[in-house]
Amino acid sequence: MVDVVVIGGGHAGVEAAAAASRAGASVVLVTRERAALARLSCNPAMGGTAKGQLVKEIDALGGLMGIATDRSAIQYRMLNRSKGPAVWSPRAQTDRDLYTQAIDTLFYERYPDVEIVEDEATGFAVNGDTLTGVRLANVGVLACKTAILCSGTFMRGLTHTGTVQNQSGRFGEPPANHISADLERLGYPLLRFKTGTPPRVYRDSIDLSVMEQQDSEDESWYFSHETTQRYNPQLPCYRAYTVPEAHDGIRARIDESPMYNGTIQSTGPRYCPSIEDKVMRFPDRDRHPLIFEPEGLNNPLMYVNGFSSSMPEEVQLASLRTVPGCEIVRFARPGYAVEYDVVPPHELRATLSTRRIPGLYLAGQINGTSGYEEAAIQGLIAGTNAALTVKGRDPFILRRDEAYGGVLVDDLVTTHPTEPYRMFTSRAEFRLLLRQDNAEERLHEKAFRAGLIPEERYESIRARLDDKSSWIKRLETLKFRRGDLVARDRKPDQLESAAQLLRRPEISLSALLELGNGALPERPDPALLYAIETELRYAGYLDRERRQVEKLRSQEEKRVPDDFDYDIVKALSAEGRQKLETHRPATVGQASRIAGVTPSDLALLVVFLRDRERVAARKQSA
Amino acid sequence: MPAQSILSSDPIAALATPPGQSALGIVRMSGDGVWTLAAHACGHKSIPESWAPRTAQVVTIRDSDGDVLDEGVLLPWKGPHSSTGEDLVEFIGHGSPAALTLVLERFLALGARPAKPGEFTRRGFINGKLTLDQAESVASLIDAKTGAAARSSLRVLMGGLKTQLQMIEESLQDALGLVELELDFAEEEIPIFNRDRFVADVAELLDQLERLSQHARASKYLRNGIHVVIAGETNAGKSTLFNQWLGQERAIVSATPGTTRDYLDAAVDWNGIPVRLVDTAGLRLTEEAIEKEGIRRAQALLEQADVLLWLVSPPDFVLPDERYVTDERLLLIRNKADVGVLTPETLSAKVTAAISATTGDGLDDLQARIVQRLMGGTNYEESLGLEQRHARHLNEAAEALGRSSTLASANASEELIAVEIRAALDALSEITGRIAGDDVLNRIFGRFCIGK
Repeated sequence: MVDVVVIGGGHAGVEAAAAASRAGASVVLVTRERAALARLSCNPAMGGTAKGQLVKEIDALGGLMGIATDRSAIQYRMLNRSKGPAVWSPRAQTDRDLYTQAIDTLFYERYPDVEIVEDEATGFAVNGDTLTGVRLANVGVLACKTAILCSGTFMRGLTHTGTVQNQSGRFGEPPANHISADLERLGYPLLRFKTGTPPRVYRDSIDLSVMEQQDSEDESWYFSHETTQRYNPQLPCYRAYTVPEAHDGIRARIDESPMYNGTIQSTGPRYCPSIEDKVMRFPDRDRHPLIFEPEGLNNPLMYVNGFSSSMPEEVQLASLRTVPGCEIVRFARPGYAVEYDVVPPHELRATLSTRRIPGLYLAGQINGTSGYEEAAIQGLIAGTNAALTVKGRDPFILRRDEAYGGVLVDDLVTTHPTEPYRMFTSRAEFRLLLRQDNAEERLHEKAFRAGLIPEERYESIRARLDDKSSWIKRLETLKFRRGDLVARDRKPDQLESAAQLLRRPEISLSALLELGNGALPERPDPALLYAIETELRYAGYLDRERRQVEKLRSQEEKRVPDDFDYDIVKALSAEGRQKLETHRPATVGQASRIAGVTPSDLALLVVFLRDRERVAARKQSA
Repeated sequence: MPAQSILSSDPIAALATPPGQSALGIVRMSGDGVWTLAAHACGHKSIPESWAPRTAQVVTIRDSDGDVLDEGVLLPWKGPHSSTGEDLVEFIGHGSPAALTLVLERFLALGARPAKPGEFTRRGFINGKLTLDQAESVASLIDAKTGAAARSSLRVLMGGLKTQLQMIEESLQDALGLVELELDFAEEEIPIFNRDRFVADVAELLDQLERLSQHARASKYLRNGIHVVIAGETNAGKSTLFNQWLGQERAIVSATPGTTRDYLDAAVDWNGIPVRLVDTAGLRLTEEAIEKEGIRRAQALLEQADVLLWLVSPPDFVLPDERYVTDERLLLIRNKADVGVLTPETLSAKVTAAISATTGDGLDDLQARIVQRLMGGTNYEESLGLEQRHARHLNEAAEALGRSSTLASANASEELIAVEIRAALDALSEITGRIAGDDVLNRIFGRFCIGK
């Protein structure tokens, strides 16, 4: 019997299969088309604000996304470079074919034991609430201990372009309808979500010379710890703007938009609005930015970022042709909207296993998220937990103060999503702790314990961290003459520690090292130097966040039994009771984050939990 | 003995009015079966049919031999429609401490247990009759020493504080929205976070927080009283002033027992504000003058004082000890203004008020000044019944906002400004309850065209 069957070969599915395998489980990955493994369904890019941090976390946990991104990257940019290091966010344009190839190669080279089966999953075999197998269209029932469903937008996928509807999970690909029906049979509630994608256009049909060119940045950095060089030549993107005529054309035929004429009832993501949404909701804006992104090194197509649409094809085309440089633009395919089935994430535990059938895990868009990175981290978490469960080991749960992945899962299980969930840095209350530069530091312990990274890597991270802390110690005691560093200082002869001096934004660690050559013979490598500098610059704030984490710890550790009977707490507000019963928070901390649960409800819950403990203790002593 | 479960609803009883002579007194009983208990106390075998929720019954409470303990009115309530959410009875009897104690003992003998402090309120909370901050207010309402304090506690019960704080939270959420917009939507065409505007907005919010803090300070004095110490050289007129204020207010004077007659202490009421007046000589510490124990006690009094009134008067105009001259609580008061001697020029600038303790001239003005100084411009009649806990959180919020403004002016990066705005919001949410994290994003999406 297989330990873990992963259904779906998208970003969640491949990370789930790889993580379960690293954690020691036998794994079968079921996908309809091996050639479409980890396909970039939307834009040809990885990372961005908060998402870049997620990719770094995936890499720190031994995942695939960082490596595949570096191998397919054709443009690197660090967003927010003008701001503090906590919000620096790596982003890359990727060649979509190279990305899929990179993932395929990684499986071939590093996961030979993961069996990739081309088939369609149609349902589950269960015995009571125990999962016994996954039903496949060709092979029949595949017996397994756990299954991870990563269906993306395929469950009852329905695409819209104007009035043209297609039963399809992705352009030109059939939907997965059986699995939805089977989930309903098993009692899972389903919601409908919607997302969209812009048209793909032929590069040779647009005049890029009239647009603003955005190049890759010169500075070299990578998503993966193992990358040491850029693999590909770098390509620019091009920025353009819509014009009022483009908006007029859309406005004139807005009732042919399935979003506006009521054909699509489900809500789409507000952070990724369609062009018709932007035109209708912000009528005073006379232009909206568009970015033409290359689909790959040798790919004839470009992705029109900012022009997501489900208007009829001719409306999209006419509107885009008013944009300077796009007068004769040709579509390879129009933009479209897709509706798909989602399981409300309150069905989940923090392991991403479902409460209804604990052997069944869900990851990715099926949980109401959007984005490759959000899907991938869920796959990794679900895969790890499925493997650990099979081996009878402790679950793998990331805390909110530890990883964006922890924030994401905690948000999922405590909220009721009304639109696809995207990660933002503002969702992390401990943003300064969750930086792209310290993912390994945050996660290496848990990664190693779960078997996600090998011992050599763990040891090398440890060694690096020791190195870092000894540097910090030295810099805390090493004194400099202020006059040598601070311009027009009033007390130039006063001595100040390097750590103290680094709190001034204008002083850099390299400058200090130059000066302190005698006392500091060797120099850290650039990445370590950056990590040290960041730690010292933020020192006061980091201490504060760490204290805050400590303060909340007792709440986070106070467990609520999964079978807690909320009926005995008569005084709960009606909304609070309903929300608590639906989400079944695992801890008091989680309960506190559920909207609708009031401070009074929380105090009551704590009182009752304490009473329950006291009664239990009394029983034991009696 | 097994620990009592907090959640049990066994019958509890207690005096609901303070001990001491009064016109009426109330004994309360709450929990399972208190109607039956009360019926038994009235000599009935079972609950009389005429008893209905919230209707007054004229009853006689009798002991086990049938002898009358007290006569009065019994108000029965049926849970959950009572202040504790349980069955509840209130017996309103004559205010004689002895009679009320007998009634209470009778209830206890029949099976009720003495209520622990706050237990009625706690049951009310657990049964959903009160929210947490309302429960806090009830405690202060009961504690309130004067009418003004009681009214201000009621105002919190009505949610007055919440409305004001929510307005401040709204503005902070807006500001945070702009900061987060810069951080999370780095690639968008978005308005730049306007630092000057932010600094101005914060100044405005700090003003509002300061007004609320003033309410908190005022409310502290309303609840705990103002502690005024009168001091000065012998013959400066301390006792005269003390007695003048007492005379006006007919307060009770209590001389502290002890070997030394080191101070006098009295409680008076200044237009609804409880005031503790202390008459001591302790501000001038000549070594031979006062015995050690006296010094120690005087010191302790001074530590607690909210205001130190030092009387200077002719002919010597003696000043207090050096270390008190700079004490912020010290007010120099020129006494004997009716005596035709001019205040020395070196002193006149430092004197807060001139009075005549003998004639009472200037006393009202002095009172007003003291109240103004401590409670600021707040109309204490309107003052919100803020807890000291609230004051602490208001202060935390103000400090965080101050830092956010400094950071914004110093061109610090937005993520640090966000830390401080969030800290301020967290502090406020300790008072108003937590706000969902999505609020900030909702604001962003509501106002700006975001997303490529």
